[in-house]
Amino acid sequence: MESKVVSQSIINTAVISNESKTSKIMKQLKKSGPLYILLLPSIILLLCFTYLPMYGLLIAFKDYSPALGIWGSPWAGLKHFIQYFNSYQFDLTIKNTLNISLYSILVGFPLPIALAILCNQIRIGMFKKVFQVTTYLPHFISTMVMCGMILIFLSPSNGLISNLLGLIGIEMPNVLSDSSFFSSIYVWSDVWQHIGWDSIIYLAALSAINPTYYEAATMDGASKMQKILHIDLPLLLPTAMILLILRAGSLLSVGFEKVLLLQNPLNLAGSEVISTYVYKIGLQNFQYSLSTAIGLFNTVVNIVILLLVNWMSKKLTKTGLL
Amino acid sequence: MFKKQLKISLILALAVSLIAGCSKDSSTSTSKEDGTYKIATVRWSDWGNDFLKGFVAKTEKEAGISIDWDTYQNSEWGDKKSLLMAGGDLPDAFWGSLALGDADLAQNSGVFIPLDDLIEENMPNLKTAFDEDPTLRAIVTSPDGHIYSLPKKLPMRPIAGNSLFINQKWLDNLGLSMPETYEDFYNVLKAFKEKDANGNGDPNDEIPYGGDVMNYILPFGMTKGSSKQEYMALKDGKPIYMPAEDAYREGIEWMHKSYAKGLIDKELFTQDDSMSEAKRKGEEGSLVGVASGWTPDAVFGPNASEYVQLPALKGPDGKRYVMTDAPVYSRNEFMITTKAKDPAKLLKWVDKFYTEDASIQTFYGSFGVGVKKEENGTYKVLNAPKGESADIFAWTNSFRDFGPKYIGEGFNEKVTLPTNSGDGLKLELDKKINKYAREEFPDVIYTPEEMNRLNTLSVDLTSYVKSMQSKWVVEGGATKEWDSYISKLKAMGYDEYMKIQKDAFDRYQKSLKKAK
Amino acid sequence: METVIKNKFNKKSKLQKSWKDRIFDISVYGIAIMMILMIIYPLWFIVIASFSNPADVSNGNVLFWPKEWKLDGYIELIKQKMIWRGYLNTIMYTLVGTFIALIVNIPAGYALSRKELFGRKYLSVFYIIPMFISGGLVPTYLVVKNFGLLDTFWVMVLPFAVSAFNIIIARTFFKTSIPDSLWEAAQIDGCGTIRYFLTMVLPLSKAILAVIGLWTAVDLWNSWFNAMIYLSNENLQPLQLILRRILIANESILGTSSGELASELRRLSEMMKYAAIVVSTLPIMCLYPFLQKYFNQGVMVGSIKE
Repeated sequence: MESKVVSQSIINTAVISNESKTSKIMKQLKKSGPLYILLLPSIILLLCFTYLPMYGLLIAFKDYSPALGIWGSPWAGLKHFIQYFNSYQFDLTIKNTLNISLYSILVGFPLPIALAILCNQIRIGMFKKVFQVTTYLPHFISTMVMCGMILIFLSPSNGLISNLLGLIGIEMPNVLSDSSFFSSIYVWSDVWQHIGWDSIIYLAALSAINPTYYEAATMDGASKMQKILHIDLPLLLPTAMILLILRAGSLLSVGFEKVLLLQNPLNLAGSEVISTYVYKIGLQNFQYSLSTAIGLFNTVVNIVILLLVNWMSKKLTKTGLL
Repeated sequence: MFKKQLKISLILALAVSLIAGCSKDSSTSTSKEDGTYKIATVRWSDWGNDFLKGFVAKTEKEAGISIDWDTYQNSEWGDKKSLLMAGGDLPDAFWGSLALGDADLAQNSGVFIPLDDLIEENMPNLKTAFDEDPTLRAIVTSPDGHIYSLPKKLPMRPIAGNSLFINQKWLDNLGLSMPETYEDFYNVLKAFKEKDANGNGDPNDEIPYGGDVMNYILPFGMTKGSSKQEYMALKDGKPIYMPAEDAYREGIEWMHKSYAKGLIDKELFTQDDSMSEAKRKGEEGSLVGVASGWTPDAVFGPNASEYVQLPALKGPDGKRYVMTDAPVYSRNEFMITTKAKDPAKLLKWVDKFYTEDASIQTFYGSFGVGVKKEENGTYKVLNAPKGESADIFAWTNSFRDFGPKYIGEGFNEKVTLPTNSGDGLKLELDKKINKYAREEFPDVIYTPEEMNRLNTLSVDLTSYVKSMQSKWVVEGGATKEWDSYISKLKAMGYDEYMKIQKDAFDRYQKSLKKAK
Repeated sequence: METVIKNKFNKKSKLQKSWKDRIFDISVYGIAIMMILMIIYPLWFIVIASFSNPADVSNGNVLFWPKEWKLDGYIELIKQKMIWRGYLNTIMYTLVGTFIALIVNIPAGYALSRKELFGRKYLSVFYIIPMFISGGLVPTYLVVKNFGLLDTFWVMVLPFAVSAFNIIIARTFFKTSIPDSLWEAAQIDGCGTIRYFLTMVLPLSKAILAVIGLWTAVDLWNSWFNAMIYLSNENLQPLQLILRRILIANESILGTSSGELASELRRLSEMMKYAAIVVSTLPIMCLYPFLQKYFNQGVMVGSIKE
């Protein structure tokens, strides 16, 4: 069986090297034909509903007025970008955004993997089910309620945490008023809320691992820990890397609803991020051009970072997005 | 292969044609077949359509006009309005200042038609109103001299706005008299803190002051007006920015002193609205001694009966101050877009709303529903059905705060309404303190360029002011850091900000004089 | 001979299992129990909060049990007439939308995983770009409008069905979990690409179908923004949009002109806040247990014969 396959491929290679380049391409195209059919629905939808509206990006370079429409509005060149860079809060918002983002990746990236591996090790069926369901449930809590709960639990006067700490005699500082605590509150509550949900993909990947690997390892006398290190982790690596790259690509996009709800005048120094700033000056006041410009700037930076991380990942682990 | 090529070229062709199509101001013809006008209005919440029945429907019939009302909810309006403006689905007119603000009008200036001549020719009621009250004309006159929107003057409004309410029961429990000066107030709060004011055996669970910053430092002369510019006020007839005033600094220092003594809610700046409300509206009694708001019901819910309005306290300069942050006049109540055919007909209909009968009906509900007209020309506000809040009943049956309205001097006396709740109660409370109301920064109009700059500058300035304000209240340092604070404000464009305000103010004063 | 050696190995592994692995097991279960406790408390909090007086909740008086049982939250919620219609709409959107999304995204992920796909790199870029660059709300709205999809059922399930994120995840899965030897064997047996995909790849990909199906279903279930922008007909609105309207109405009111109104609206929304979560989340939470079996080890392995 194997020899048949091998000899077939040898014949193929011999045949190919004798052909010209164009017919080689034609052959590849022909082979890919059916694959293109599989791609067709998504290509059509993307062209129609995401590529087509991209002409709207021109707004960033114009002084857009809805009355004049996109084509009728006068050109403004890089005026809005410059306005943004010179704005008073530029440095602060970028700093806070990067801070929260990087912290979030550092903590939020490995933990779901650890959780999936942990869950995979649970052998008692009922317990495993309970564990899985419990960990993914918080994902469904809406941001509004989540923030309301955070404020209640962290309240220094009668919040749960302060009551617990009070039992051991520690008085809790008002962490909500401290700008240096903001990123921690944001990141760890995100972890709490999404760790279970984010681990699902890793669980699925783990479930596809061939059990013969484990059997072989057991026969070699491997401990459970060693099995994790040498089987689970390497096989999860491709999925993990892709997710990491994608996450790196949204570095500057710290979502604004949660930040806005947790913001207060005392922690602004640590909680004003790009998205909340854009919201305040742009969307609330019809400043289309400025907010589109800022969005475009964000996108460009995100893409650069994405390419960087992608390149690193390819170098180190051979998996990449592109 | 050929099929695939065909498919691709068809898609490309479609794409190109769509792009081409999008380039024109794609106005899908909503040309009215039968002369129906499309009007968009925005409401705070979804209360059904009753507000369009009764009086409003009657006016449409009288004027021989047919209106197709598009009602939007405020929480979604932010996103939807840009689609409306840019998406070519422009209505013929907008109703109510909740729909569009000054910034919206400035950004979309080509969309709204000037109304000056049309008013002259078609709106006798409004013209009379303009003559009787020059403020009306001044607030709708744009920097370019034209009028692009119609104004309103609300009936049954207090002069003072939000005020402070204090727990009378706690005062009685501790044998204290009502404070009259800011120093008395401080001592009362101290007593609330140290003693068992609410009589439940625990002297430590009371929160003496649970209101906001500006209301606390009111005695220092920091009065909020109804201007949409949060910190603008008038002093000796000149515009000032309150957070840059010395009196503000002194007020903040005083508040810090109170905070350090535990008189202010420690979570003032970090809690959300649900939490602050819960402290005041808990069913076992309120934990808060003094807070600010519209009426005791609105602020303290089930505990309202224990509270009375605090008199206007005497400040360090011996004078008494009140907030006047309850708008009476406003503009942008009606705008006509370039879409409308025969705007004159539309305005003739709108003119019907500038009478007293109209204004009271579009505030409480039509005759027989929300209000009753007596034979002697006075009006009686009808009670809401049992179990319903009077305020919500009014909102359900009328435009309430929004849309064209006008009432002349002395109108409010012609109206009888229950005085133990709602508008009636507010007016009663108002009578006690409104003599201390002062001049406020008027509702000036800015040019589109000024508007743009103002928006950006005020986001930065307000952020900084608020964060320093909260820091100084909690940690102190207002006096120490004052100079660097002022320089930072300047670095953020404070001078430019004030110049814009002053220019707009001067223009306003001029158009006020002209109208007279 | 073999049995002797096997026994030797077994003895060795049994010994090793006893202490290293025992500690391992204990830590695993220990951590798991701690996590369950940490996560379950706030969830329990939401449930009891939905049966409590909102003021008690915000004051921190509700800890392990409602202070006073109140069904007001649920009653107010059920009184909202549009809730039932919203439920129905959401179920429809979720079912149809997930089905369409799977048809659109899974085959694309598979196609991109094949090395022989001509122009693979460029196609990948083609998919990734829209993840970052968007023309903006207004142009997208205009395009949707020009396609005649405004205010229709289809706008919720068709235009935005493509998820580059899901396609990439699927691509990774296909690359790493379906061995090439399978394809070669199929080719020799004369199986075409599409037939191979449908009859051999898909049955082996239950895990990824389950994951992407679940993610898509949850996204659709929770979506409200698209409905808010593209739908004006009340009868088409999904549950989350209706709930959001109620819960958020009071947030936007500026205090001064109608102090009573704001406080009245807030009272209603406070009452319903927690109940709304329970009501809108319950159905989707029940979905996962059905899909759990696809995430368990070795369900479909063994079907690949080398």
